[in-house]
Amino acid sequence: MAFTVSAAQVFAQGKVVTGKVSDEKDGAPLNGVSVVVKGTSIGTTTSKDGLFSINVPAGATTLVFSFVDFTSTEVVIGGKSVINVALTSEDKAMSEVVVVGYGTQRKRDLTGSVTQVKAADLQNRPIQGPDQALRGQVAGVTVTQSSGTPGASLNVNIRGTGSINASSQPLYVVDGIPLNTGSYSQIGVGGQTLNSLADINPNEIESYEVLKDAAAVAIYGSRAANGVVLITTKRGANKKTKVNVNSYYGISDAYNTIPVLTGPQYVELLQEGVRERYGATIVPSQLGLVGLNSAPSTYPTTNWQDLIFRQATIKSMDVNAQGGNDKTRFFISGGVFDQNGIVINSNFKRYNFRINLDNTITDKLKLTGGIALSRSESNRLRNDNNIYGVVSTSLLLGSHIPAYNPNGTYGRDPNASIENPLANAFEVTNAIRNNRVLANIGLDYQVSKNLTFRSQFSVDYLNFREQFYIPSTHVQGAGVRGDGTEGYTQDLNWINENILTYKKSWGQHDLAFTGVASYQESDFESILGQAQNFPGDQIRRISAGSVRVQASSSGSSWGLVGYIGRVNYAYKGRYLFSASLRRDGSSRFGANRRWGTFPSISGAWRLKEESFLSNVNFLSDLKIRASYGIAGNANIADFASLPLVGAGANYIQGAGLAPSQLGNPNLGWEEAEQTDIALEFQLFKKINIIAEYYVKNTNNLLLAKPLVGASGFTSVTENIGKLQNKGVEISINGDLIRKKDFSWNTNFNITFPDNKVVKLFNGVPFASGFASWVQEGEDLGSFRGFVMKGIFQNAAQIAAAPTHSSATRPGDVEFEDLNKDGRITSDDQRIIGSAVPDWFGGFTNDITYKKFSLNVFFQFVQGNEIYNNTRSFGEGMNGVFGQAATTWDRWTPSKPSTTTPRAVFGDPSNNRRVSTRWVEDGSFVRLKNIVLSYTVGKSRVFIQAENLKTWTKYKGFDPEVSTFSITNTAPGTDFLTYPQARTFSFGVNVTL
Amino acid sequence: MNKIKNLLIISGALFLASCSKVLDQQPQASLSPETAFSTRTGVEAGLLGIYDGFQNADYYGLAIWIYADLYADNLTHTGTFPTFAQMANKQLLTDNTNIGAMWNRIYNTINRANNLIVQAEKLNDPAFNKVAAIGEARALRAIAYFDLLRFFGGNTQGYGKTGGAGVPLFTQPTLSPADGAPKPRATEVEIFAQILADLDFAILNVPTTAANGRLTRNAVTAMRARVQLYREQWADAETMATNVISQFAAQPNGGLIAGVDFANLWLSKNTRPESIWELQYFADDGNSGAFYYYPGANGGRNEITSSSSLALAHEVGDLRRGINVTVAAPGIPANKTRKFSRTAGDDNIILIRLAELYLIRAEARARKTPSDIAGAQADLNVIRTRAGLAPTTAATTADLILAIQQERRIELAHEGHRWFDLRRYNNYGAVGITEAFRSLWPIPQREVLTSGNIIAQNSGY
Repeated sequence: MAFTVSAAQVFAQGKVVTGKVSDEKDGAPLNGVSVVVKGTSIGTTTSKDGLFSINVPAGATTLVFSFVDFTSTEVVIGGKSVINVALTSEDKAMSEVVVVGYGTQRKRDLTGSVTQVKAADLQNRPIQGPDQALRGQVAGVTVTQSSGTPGASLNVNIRGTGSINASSQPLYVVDGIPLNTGSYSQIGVGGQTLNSLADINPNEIESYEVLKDAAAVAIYGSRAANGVVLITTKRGANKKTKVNVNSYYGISDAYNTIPVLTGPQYVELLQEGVRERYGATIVPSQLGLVGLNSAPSTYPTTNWQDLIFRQATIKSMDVNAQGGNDKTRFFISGGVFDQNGIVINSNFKRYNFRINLDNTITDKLKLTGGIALSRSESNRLRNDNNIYGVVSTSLLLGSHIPAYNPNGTYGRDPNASIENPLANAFEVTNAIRNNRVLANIGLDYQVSKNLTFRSQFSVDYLNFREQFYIPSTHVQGAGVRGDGTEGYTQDLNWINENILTYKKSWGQHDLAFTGVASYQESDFESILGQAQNFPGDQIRRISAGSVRVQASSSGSSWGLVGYIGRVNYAYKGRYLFSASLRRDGSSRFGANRRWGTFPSISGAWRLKEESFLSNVNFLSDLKIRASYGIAGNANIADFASLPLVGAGANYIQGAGLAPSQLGNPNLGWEEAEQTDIALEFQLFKKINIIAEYYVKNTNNLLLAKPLVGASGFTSVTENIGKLQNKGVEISINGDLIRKKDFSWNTNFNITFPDNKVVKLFNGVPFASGFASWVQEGEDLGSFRGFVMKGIFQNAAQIAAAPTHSSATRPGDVEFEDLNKDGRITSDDQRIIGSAVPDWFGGFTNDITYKKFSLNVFFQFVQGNEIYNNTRSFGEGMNGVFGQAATTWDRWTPSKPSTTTPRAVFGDPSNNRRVSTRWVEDGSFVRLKNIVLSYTVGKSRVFIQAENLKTWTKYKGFDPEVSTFSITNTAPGTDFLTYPQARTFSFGVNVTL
Repeated sequence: MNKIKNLLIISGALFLASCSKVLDQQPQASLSPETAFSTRTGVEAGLLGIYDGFQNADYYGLAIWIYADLYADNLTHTGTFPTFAQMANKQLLTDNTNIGAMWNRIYNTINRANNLIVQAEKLNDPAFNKVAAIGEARALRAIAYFDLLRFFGGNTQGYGKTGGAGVPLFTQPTLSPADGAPKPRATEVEIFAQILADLDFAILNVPTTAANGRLTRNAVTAMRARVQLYREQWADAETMATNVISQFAAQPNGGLIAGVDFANLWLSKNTRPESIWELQYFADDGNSGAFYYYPGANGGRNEITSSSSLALAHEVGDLRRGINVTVAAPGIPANKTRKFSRTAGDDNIILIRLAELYLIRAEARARKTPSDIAGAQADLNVIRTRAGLAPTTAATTADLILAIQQERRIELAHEGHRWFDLRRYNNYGAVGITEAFRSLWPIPQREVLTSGNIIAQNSGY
């Protein structure tokens, strides 16, 4: 900060003070800076040239200059009549203010782990929701896009997967509103779940704060075990109205396809497989297989992937205005986002509208409010583990089937259950509509100089509709003459929070106290109807179906009451201390454990301010901080603690009842006990480095304690189990060069996570997904299976090897006999991989030269495995599924292979079993985003590429994949999953 | 300041009021066990809940009858499920999820019955026929235990033999996790004792007539005949079969539907008197039988197909051949069965019918000491005549047993008998099984692990 004072006149009465306000960085005049006589309501704003003129009453001592993104500056008037001020931009790391739970804090005063991501850095990315924006930006945060399906959920884990059965997703709080997250769909599609965060337009967001350690999160109590993401939307400012128009247009495509056999090659393989199994003279028709006896060369070839993938457009347009005066400030925004999926007939469209208003009623009373409306529409395709999916059938259907028959009907495989992918895409509709309101209103009152009170009431209301129709032209709808299902879901979540803040400074002491009372309730309702037998397929509403298959409605609710206290104390501004305590009561928990306590304690020492470091010039800042605390996870079913008898066990159209759940009155939250130590330092005033070590032990895991099925139940939910996540996070931010015409900023973060299942009920491991395995001492995300040793080349090898099966022949896979009992049994399985990476992170470089700027963002993940279940079908060679081109290298007596077994119908030796054969290295480096932009005045034009290039050994579509979406126990499995798109776009940001 | 004080007071009052309400949330679509079965209507709904368990795809809705024909020679696997492939290949792994699901579902159904039996006892409502309800629940429980024994119990030579293995025996409802603590497997003898006690109580108390789909005295008696056949209690099997057959013996075809109309037993529903107990399905709670058989073009998933071995097993002129192994026709795919034809899922599933009782009695007469050759031939010929075949030429006990085995395969194909018959005749080798231990199915691995080996695995797995 610098200011110059000139002139010298001395008057006791009121006077006029004039001057100019400029930017300290480049001397440019600042327009719209608020200039206020301290202690009065007298004020003005600067003109376009940065000039101001103000009448200063007698007795006034100080002028306050404030402006968005700049440090507020006070200047003593004294005898001056001309005051020129240069304001310092706030984006200097240490003076930045970050949003924390129930308040804000200067970054330099933080004792907890809070990472801020400025939304401006992420603007214009072709992404749907705010969670996507965080990918690769924050150390310790994994954002995995489980598929490329428009509108599908992402898996966001802060410091590892923190739970086994409860949710592991963070709590999202938008402007103080804890969001409803998750999927509201009642209709299964095979894999991907929907993402209710996709309702929020990332362009309305000012900043994201990711709260990671216990000091930061414990104040959110029973919901904070998986970390908290605070999202702050843009607000108005006391300055001239600024209108922004942001728009981009892009083209997406699939950057990768899986090579498959031609039709003749496929039929040859199948006929060979039949002979291998049943004898040299057996032809497919003798097994009841239709139409496969002819010479292979007579069959056509259809590349289904070429038919289902397309070039798709993505469009986004949004207009917002930001402005106000000293009384009222506003932010108003509207936008449309329209994304077509790279798979035919998939899309996602969102309309957004938001108003944020602030009004200063009196100098002590302030009103704030905001309302956001959104509507999203999509056509949802079935995929993944679904024989009527589009991507799935494009791989599962043999290439010997024509797309269309000569008479125009869809080509179908009479031997398979797989429907034609084009029929799956074009015939079936699954129209999703989601309307959402996020609204909040708050009142701030300055009770006294040191005491402020804020009360806020907020709602998150969403109304979700899905309309699913399978026409009679699709195989599934043929027998029932049309099958329609419609569902509505609504969720109303209201919260009232009352915050008392007390701040006092004396001598070298600073004390702050925050107290909060929080009340929240959520009310969920759904209805679902299904009918069949429609009069043709024109009317798709279920009222037209003559057979009503089901009609159901349901409702559920939960309530949460929290009382919070936090104290922050600083001595000399360099010894910092903070402690917080939250008491939460939740309706979800057992009668005996309804209330829980979540404490945290933290401290920091700003070493650089000690005299012994004052001469160490290269070290411009140094701070150590540490924290410890406990947060909870209450993300389980609403009535998991109660014994229940459920309805719907009907028979002969009579109403039936049956026990559905065992109760547990002692059911409580999962407790994440977290210790964090961090070193923050700055070199040469340019490079900020944060190195952080954390250990997060999640105790009392809400696990389904397995019961013997003979009891009539398979499990009861209990607080058993422990999980540990620990790791090292390093973030480096270098403002390497900052000159008038050239600047270079680099941002690098890397995390070395470690995850371990510490305790399960009685130590009993369990399976999940296709190959996932949860076992004490292993990663949560491990795969278990057999170990492939090679291929049996001849009968002698089979005779000498451990017994596989009586049907094992040369060309079959040899597995390791791990327990050396001479037989291959289910005991010969071990951990064969893990979806948990060794390290992951992001690397961003921002280079500006004159009016050009280039932003390059890499994302990387190293050392994780993927269970490629797609290959276990595509290379199964056991039946009637489409086969990958790699099966051309299969074992035959004349062309022995050591990696790919023989084709054999029915796979009698079980070559396809879960084994190392399907486990692949999932490491990748991805040039996630690259933007080149050119600035014209305050506006900007840009071209951009998303997912431009991926370096990986993975053989599937995309290494960033999870067919089980956000299931904690089965990450990293690929099964016919919709891949991510590569997108090229161009656009403009115009500021008026 | 006053304004603010008022504001604080008002908001304070609001919070206190909301606090107690916020934490008091009640389920909207479920009941507590105390209230659910405390009324007559509740108990009656609970009774239907047991049948609902039988309807499940992991039980009679699909599993039992597919598995018994797939782990034998009546079905081939043409679909995608590796778990089904294991059955077709007779190479079951202990973690086969279909087996685990069936085990869990049968025991879940047993627990429903146990709840009902205990709760109904407590109810004193003059309008409520308590013993009839308890009888029905006990009969259903008996059938469920019998199904467990059929797959997981007995010894490698069959049922009712020395040292046969049983399954864990739960006869009290599981109301808390402690009630559900693992129990070691009871012996086959103990399970059969429980089954017979339940069936006997039911025979005395279940009404003689009931709505389609509910158990009647005849149905329970027929089930007892089947149980006694498995136990090789020939005299009682014959008596039980006779108790039912005698009511209809004077009718044309001995009470059976005419051979030319054989398919109508499934294409129409509830054809009495041949159909004795038939699980009822409607579009709103359909089964997946036809869906699993039919190929994609007919709205199915082509998971299973009638085997060529089944087709070849038919004698020339057998009227049942087209029902057991279909010939393609408009709307009818080839090599499936007419016993499941509705892809909407509303095929009923016949659990026991009069024809089986003739075959039970034929076998009991042939195998009892001394054999009643003529009686056995007469019963067998009722079935053969109806099927359009000449009377049997088998005239010795040994030949008759073979003839009955063959006749059961054809008559009861797709109805979930084949594998159990092979076990009863100690003839598992007929379907290519060389290792004797594979005649008992593995106890689900999860059950063994979860119980900490208290529930012992069948040897060999």
